[in-house]
Parts: sequence; C-alpha cells; structure tokens
Amino acid sequence: MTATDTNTDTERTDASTAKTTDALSAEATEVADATTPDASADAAPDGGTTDASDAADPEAVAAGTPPSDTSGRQSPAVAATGPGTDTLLQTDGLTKRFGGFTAIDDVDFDVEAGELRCLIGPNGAGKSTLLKLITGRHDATSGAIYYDGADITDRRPHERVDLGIGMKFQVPSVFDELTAYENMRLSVQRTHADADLDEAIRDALERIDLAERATTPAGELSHGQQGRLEIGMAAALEPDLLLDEPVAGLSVEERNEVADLVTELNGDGIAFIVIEHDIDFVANIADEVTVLHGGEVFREGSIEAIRDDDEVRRIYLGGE
Amino acid sequence: MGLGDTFDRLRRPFEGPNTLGNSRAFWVGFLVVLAGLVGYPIGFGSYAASSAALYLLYAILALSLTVIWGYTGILSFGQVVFFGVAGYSFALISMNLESALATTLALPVAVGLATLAALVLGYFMFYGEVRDVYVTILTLVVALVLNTFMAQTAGSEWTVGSVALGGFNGIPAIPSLTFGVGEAAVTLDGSAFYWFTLAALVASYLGLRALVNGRFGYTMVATREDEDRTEMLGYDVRRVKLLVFALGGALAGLSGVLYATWGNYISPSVFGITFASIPVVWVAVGGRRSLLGAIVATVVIEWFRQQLSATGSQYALIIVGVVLLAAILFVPEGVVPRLDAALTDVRDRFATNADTPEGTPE
Amino acid sequence: MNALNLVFQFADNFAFVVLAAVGLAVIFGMMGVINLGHGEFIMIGAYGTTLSANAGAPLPVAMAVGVLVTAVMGFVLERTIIHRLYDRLFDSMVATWALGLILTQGMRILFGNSIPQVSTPLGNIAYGEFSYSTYRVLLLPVALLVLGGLYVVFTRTEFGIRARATIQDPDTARALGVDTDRMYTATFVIGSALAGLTGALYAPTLTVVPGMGSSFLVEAFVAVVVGGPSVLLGTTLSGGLLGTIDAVFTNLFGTFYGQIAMLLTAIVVIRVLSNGLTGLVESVRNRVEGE
Repeated sequence: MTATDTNTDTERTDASTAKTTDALSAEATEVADATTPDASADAAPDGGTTDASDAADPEAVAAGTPPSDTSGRQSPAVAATGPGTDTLLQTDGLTKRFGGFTAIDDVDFDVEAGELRCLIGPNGAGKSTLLKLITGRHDATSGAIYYDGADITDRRPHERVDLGIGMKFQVPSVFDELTAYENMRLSVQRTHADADLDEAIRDALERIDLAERATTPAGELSHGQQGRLEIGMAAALEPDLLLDEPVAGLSVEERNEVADLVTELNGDGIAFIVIEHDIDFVANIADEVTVLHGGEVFREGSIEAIRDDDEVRRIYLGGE
Repeated sequence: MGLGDTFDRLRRPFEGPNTLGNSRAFWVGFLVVLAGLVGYPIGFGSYAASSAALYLLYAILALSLTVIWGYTGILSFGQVVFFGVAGYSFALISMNLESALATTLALPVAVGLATLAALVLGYFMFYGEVRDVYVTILTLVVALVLNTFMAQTAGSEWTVGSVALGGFNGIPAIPSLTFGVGEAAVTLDGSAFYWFTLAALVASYLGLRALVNGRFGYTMVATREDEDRTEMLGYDVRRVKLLVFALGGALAGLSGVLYATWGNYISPSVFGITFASIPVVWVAVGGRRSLLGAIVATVVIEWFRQQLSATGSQYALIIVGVVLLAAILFVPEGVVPRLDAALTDVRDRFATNADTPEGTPE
Repeated sequence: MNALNLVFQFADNFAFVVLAAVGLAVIFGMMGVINLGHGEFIMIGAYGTTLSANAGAPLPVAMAVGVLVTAVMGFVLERTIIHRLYDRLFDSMVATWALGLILTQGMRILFGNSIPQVSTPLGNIAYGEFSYSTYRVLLLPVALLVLGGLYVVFTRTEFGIRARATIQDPDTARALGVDTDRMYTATFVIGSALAGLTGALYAPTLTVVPGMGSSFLVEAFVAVVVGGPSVLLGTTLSGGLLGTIDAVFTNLFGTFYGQIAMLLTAIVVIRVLSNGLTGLVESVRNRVEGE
C-alpha cells in the first residue's frame, strides 16, 4: 500500500487546499463535500441522505465512484484520479439506539483516503459511539457502513482491523503487564514473518522513540509514552484509517507530541478520524471538521467556517 | 564452543518471556532431572515406577489447565470432563472391539473425541460471547451433570455394545495401553508405561513451551490481558479461545486415556466435584502462568496426598484446601515462579559480587 | 401423572431452584463474586439446624440457629479472606472453592459421615392416589416470601438504597459517605444467611451429610447463569423457567433428564441472551419505551 499511500497524500493536500478556499465563502456544511462529485446531493445541513447512496448499489457508492468518473479504475483502493474521488469510509443512515435513547441518529458521514477529519461536539453528542460503530465494538441498530468498497456493517471488529481500520482509545489501552517490546510484537507480528520480526519491532519502537524502553512493562511507561506506544501499535498494523480518541489528561507537551505523531502518520497517507474537545487544538491539526450534536451531523466544513458558525457556538456554550 | 552453540540453537524455540527457565543452566538442570526420571524405574523397580506414572499423567492434565487458565485467562473447572470423556471412550472402544489394533487406535480416537467435546462446548461458550465467570460455572455444571449421569448408569439398559457403563462402580478391566497389530502388539505396563507417560509429558511440556513463546502464545497472553484490545489488533479472540480450549481438551483427553489404562479402571468420580477441583489446586499452587510450576506442584501435591491417604488420614483434603487458600492469599503468582524470582535474585547478587556480567544469559 | 401432580412438582422445583440460588445470586448480583463454596454454606445451615434439633431445640428455633451459624461464618470469612479478593475475580472463586473443600472435610472429621436426621414435620396432604408432604408444599410460599423480603430490603430500606448505590458506582457511593466496605460485608452476610436458610429449610427433607452441598450446585449455578445480573428478577424468572423445565422432564424421563434439560437451557439462554433472562426483559422494556 505504500505507493498508493503516497499518491493519496498528495491528493489529500490538493483536496484540502481546494476545500479551504471554498470554505471561506460558503456558510457551512456543504463545503466539506464541495469537491466531491456527490456533494451537490449532500446539501442537507445535518447530513441528509445523498441521492447516490439511495439509488446506486452500495459497492459503487462506498467506493465513491461517481458516474462521471472517467478514469475507469477498477479497484476503489487505488487512488489515482485526482482530488476527492476516493471515499474510504461511508456511513449510510447509520443509527444506534440504546434502549429508548438514540445515540446516533441517521448519520451519513464519509471520509476520504488520506484525510484528517476532526469530530467535535458537546458531551453526549455521540462521537465515541460513532467510532465504536465504525470499529464494530457496537452493532448498528440500522443503517450501513461501507469501507473501501465493501459493506462492513456486520463484520466482526477483528475483520475490520484486517481490512485496515485501526483504533486508538481514550484511555491508553496498552497491555500493562507486557513490555513495550511485547506490546509492539503483538501488532507487528500481524504483518511480518518470524524471520524479520525482531528487526521490525525494534524499528517500530525506534519510530515512536521508545527503543530504550523496550523491556519496560507498558504499565510503567509515562502517560505520554503509553499514548505513543498505542498509536505506534495501531500504525504498525498498516491501516488506511485510524480512529483516534485522544488521551485524556495529557500535558500540553505530551499532547503536542501525540499531535505531531498523528500529523506525521497522516503525512504517510493514513486517514484519521480524530475526536477532539478543544477547538483551538483542532485548528492545529485538521482542516476538515464534522460537528456532531444529539447523535446527528450538525455541521460539516472547514475549521474556519465551523469556528465562525454561530449555531455551533450556541450548542457548545448554550448547553444541550 | 561448537557443542555449546548447537545447544543454544536447540533451546531457542523453547525460550521467551512467557516461560521460566531461559538459561543454559536451566536446560542443563532440565536434562539432569530428566535423566533421573528416566532412570527411576531402574533404581526403584517397576512397582514404584507404576505408582509414579500416575503423578506424571496427572501433570499432563495440569498442563491442559495451565494453557487455558494461566495463559489465556479462562478458568475451566471442566478439564476433568475431557479427561473422563477420553477415559470412557477408550474403555468402550477397546473393550468392544477387543483386538490389539483397536486398542492401539482407541488412544487417538479417544483423544479426538475429547477434543471434539471441547470444540463443541467451547463453540457454544465463546461464540455465544459467554463471559469469564459464566464459563467457569458452565464447565463446572457440565462436569457435575456428567457425574450425575454416569452414576445412574448401573442398570443393564446402560450398556454400550457389550460393555456395561456400570453406574457408580464404573468400568473395570480396561485393557492396558497397547501398540501394534495382533501378535506383534506391545502392551505397556509397569516401567514401560511409566516411560511412555514420561515421554508424553516431556513432549507436551516442550511443545507448549514452543507454543507459548511463539506467535500464537503472544496472542493467548494478549487475550488474557485484554480481549477488546486484542481484537482491535486484528485477532479473532473467539477463535483464539476456542483453539486453546480444544488444545486443553486434547491434553486432558490424553491424560484421561493414560489414567484409564494406568489403573485399568474408570468411574464417575472423575467427573465429581472433588476431582474437578484438583487441577485448579495444582495449577493455582504451582503458578498458573508457569508450565513447569504446574508439573512440579502436581507431582508434589499428589505424592503428598498419596502419603496421607496411605496412612488413613482424613486431613488430606483439609490440607489441600488450606494450601490452596494460602497460595491464593499469599503467593498468588504461584510457588514455583516465586522460587524462580528468589533464585534469580540470589544469582544476580552473586554475579554482581563476582563481577562477571557476562555469566548469566538472561 | 396428572395436571395437579405437575403443578405440585413445579411448585416443589420452583421453590428448590429459588432457594438454592438466592444466596448465591445476592452475593453475585451485588458484589460480582461467585461463591463456589455456596453449597457448603447451605450444608452448614443444615448441620446447624439438625444438630440443634437433635440437642432438643424445637425445629423453628433449630432453623434459626442454622441461619445464625451460617451468617456468623459468612461474616468471619468475609472479614478475614473474601474482602482481600474483591478485585480478583478468579482468585475469589478459587478461594471460596478452597473454603468449600475445608468445610466439607472438616464436618466429616467432626461429625462423621452422617448424623441422626430430623424427620419431616407436618405430615402429608393426600389427594386421590397422590400424597404430598405438607412441609414441602409450604416451601413454595416460603420461597416467595424470601423473594418478597429481599425486594423490600433492597428497594424500600435505607440499607438497600446504599447497597445498590455501592454496586452501581462504588467511588461515587464512597464520595457520598457510604461505607462501601461495610456494604460488601453486609451483603456477603445476607447471602450467607440465605444459604443457611436454604440449608435449614431442607434439613428435614434431605439426608444431611458433609457432601450434600453439591446437590444444590447445579440448580444454583444454572439459575444464576440463566437469570443474569439482576438478583430478584433473574432468580424469580429462572426459578420459573427452570422449575417448569425440570418438572416436565423429570416427570417424563426421570431426575437426570431434568438436570440435563436445565443444563441445555442454560447453554441456550446464554447463547441467545448474553445478559440472561434479565437482559431479555430489559431489552423488551426498552423497546416498548422506545416506541
């Protein structure tokens, strides 16, 4: 995937530049999809169902292959045709109820390959639930999730990981009793043969600056180191999409380290969905923002547009 | 040096952080003890060897629980189920067919049936998302129900082929372990049985060491530590648990066949509540995350129980209970890992004093 | 066999399942600890009752002694051993198992393999060709009374509210001034006393021997597994379900098949409903409220 990733990256930069320009003039949500062919259909502010996803067969929709796409490419995984045509993840009318409570309400949401998307919203907006639906930790009540051209709604969590979806949790969830090396091994052995396992593990630890702590049990690492280890483990699985619930209770310094790592990995072509609470922090890392509110997509657009949006400000300040 | 290098290369697959004993010294000690065990029947005679074989075959049962509980985090009270299923299967097959060949084949078939039983039960539990304590309870209930069932098979309607299940009294006159066809068959008794059991135990031990220090072993440990996290690394934890449970069933089954042929007898008490608890005692006391610990504790505890009951003492079970309780409260990691840690400590201090940093390869 | 016979059989089984399970269910539901020595706690209650009755105490007094002895034992064991193991699920199971071994063998050493039995009081009710022990028939209302009593204790009393707060969120409960340690101790003692009560109630109807605890285990464990985490609802529902299944299969095929049927029920229920019958009831309730 490395070659493709590089392509995707270039494409991402192009796309986001385009979006940012648009975002300045447009008011809110549509901006996000202004450069995608099916954006015109996606005009409803809270993510109304697109024509495409209603009509076309799921494979085509999920692949983000628009009817007008002239490149005629076969596999949706190969991004080659310029900005904004490669939808990596798409949810279609995704709904999750817990008993009488609707945590996620008819959400249509999509992420392109190589994108870095921030998910914001007040407490209880459904951000974590949405991520858990995407990883398969929760089963959807209704609606569908497509990834890389395939319907993954009923796939088991580990199958989704195999397809390329990685997850990083709010509480650094490394294996406390295992050493950093052993932790990393669990991830690296998914993609490497026994012969070059050791070298690959050491490389991976080197990359997250933990080579010296290889024999330390992960539970004894600092909070920031655990965060790095976790993200390193997720990255070692060579995913195309990483879901990131930032670690709570980090110092500014540790947070910046993690943010740098996220930006770096994103630069390598991994798409990210990042949950963030601090809108100023979002501005540092992301260009595309989705605002969830009451389980629905409330706004979608560039960080500038979102930050200037009075309605968004109202739901944040005015309580729920 | 050439010999030493070969030795080091040979031991490598069996070493790693998931087992105790990763030094040259350990393996030398291992070989010395093994030589002693092999020579035991020669020194003490066939009768003593035959008695000792019981401890060795029990140790295989203990290993089956160690992989399931210690390495994968599933506490099963049902290892005796697979032990008993294999024992009864062996009896029914070999006694119905009454030929050397059938008795030879009865071993793998009985172990296969035990594995199958573990697969079926494991499928229902793990693919049904049955969680930790419920697994423990279910395995215990299965054992108790089998105990009730086998105990009421005294009537003449309870025969399989020509063999009566015998209810509470069980099945006597089970053939000894036999290999071969017709006249060329070899029956293993006394010392020969002891050596076979020892070989089976050593093979199980080494096989498990290689397993837990390999890819799958890390997956097992990760599953024990945190199932959700393991799943997010792309592992199918249900499958991991099922496979481990089946492996445990196979080992318990092997132990069960050896047991049935050791005393030429099996009865419903193998499913009973006391026997169901004994493997947990061995493993908890010896060190649930230590294969070696399980073996050592099994041999020591069983030898001790044998000595006590031979003198007619009623206190054996009380002492077992107290030892178990003390282990849980004061040595939760188990006696053998605790000893190993103490030993390493002493050796490190010694090594520092003697100023030989290269001395201990760990 | 006729309908009335089946009804009696059901009542008998329902009472047995509920009484066998209730002590275990309280401790498990409230504290998440599986007491594998539960059967032996019941046995202690039975011994307390039988021994005091043999010493001349009237049966009700003897039963009270049985309950008291078990409760005191529960208190001592909780303070000395169990409370160290609250965050170690498997260890607490193994430790209570060890206690069970010690209790069984200890009673055998102290009192031998059997003691003089107390005969079943209150005579029989005859109906046509059938005859039932009045005492055993009365166990059904007693079981219902126990469930009702628990309901009142856990929903209507200050203690119950504190106990439930402790279960839901120990940290918050502590912050609100609840002495959570005391709550755990109290819950364990209640669970022990209930096991003792079961032993006391069944002492006149069963052979009181050191190993008698195991005859309650299958029913108790299956009931808790089938019932799910909610103590009262779960125990009542599984008592009803298992009582019916046991009655039908025992009547048709014999005791053993009743047990097998219960085991299969447990496996099927767990396979289908991860939170037992309680989970089913809750999801139905949620769905109804959600509409």
